[in-house]
Amino acid sequence: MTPGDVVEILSGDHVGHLGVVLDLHPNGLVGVACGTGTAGRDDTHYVIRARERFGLRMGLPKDTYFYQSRGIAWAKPDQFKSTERTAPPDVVRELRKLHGLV
Amino acid sequence: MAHALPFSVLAFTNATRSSPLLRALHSVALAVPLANKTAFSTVRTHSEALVRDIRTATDDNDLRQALDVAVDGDDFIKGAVALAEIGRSRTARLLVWLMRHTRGDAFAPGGRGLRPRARARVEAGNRLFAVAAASVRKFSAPPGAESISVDEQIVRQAVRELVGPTVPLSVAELGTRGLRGLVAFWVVNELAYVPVREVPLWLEEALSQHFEDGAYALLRILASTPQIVVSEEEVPLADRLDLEHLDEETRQARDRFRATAPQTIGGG
Repeated sequence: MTPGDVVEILSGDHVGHLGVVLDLHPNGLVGVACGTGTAGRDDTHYVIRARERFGLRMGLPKDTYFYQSRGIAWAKPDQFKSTERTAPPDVVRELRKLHGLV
Repeated sequence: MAHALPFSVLAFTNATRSSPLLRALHSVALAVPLANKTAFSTVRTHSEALVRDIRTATDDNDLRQALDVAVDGDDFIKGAVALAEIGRSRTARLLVWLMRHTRGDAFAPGGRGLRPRARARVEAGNRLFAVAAASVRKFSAPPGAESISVDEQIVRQAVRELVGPTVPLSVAELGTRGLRGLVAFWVVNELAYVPVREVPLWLEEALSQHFEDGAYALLRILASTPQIVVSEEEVPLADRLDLEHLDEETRQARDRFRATAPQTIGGG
């Protein structure tokens, strides 16, 4: 698992959602930016449209919103399922910016 | 601290410097040694696939996404590796090492067949790349730099590392723009062989703009690297990055980010 991988979240509050790996903690945990299909929250966010090229590349089933407030899911690697897809470089950069990884 | 940068681009610079990329593919293929014919064929195949895909872009946003997706896609990476095979030499290996450990350089083909504004941008981008190439050639690499191998995995990894959490975001942004510019360069040169009526003017101009922007982005990274000399005339001080300061900022940001992780393993 490396930064930029698109994963399905298998546990915790975001179970079933797709996310993007942003960091691997030295303690063994993986930090994943969580996406959601829920639009309209009054919060800083980054959206990827399912039918645009980024969404198609990442295999998103619907428009996916990454909210700053939803934060990062930290968990062991086995709590994430690989989708065998990766986020384009621009998406990784935007998510890093959203979550203060500048 | 050195950053991993888009060396996939540099992997084929040596080939393109001596024989402009697509012109070479169109005209030199029959003359190359047998061993290189497979590589030429591979480049040709991936080049055509890239062009087919990017020509379908419908507007500026779609084009930017298409270029970004192409940057670490199979066609660009496999094509770049094949070009590196063609251009395997001391210089090519040195350039690849530089991309892994410091900054890069590039090539200078023409844009024959392009319309005036696009052609002017491609020529401007070529000039910037020539400046970059000249500055990299003066760089004296440490021992071991020339023995690096270029394969698909290592190129792919380097592109991924470019936006990884250890690379300052501003460096990652310039590097990504540089890579997008190189894909755009590849495609716009191919379009120079397509009848004008089949290529929308906006697409040709946007691709050439991406190329020129990308060339300057890569030159800015080079100019910001202590061991590489680029004149202030080419890159003013205001456009250079303070890499040491950015590295420290990124390290601190990463520490803050990691502090949000649970202390006990198993949290979700």
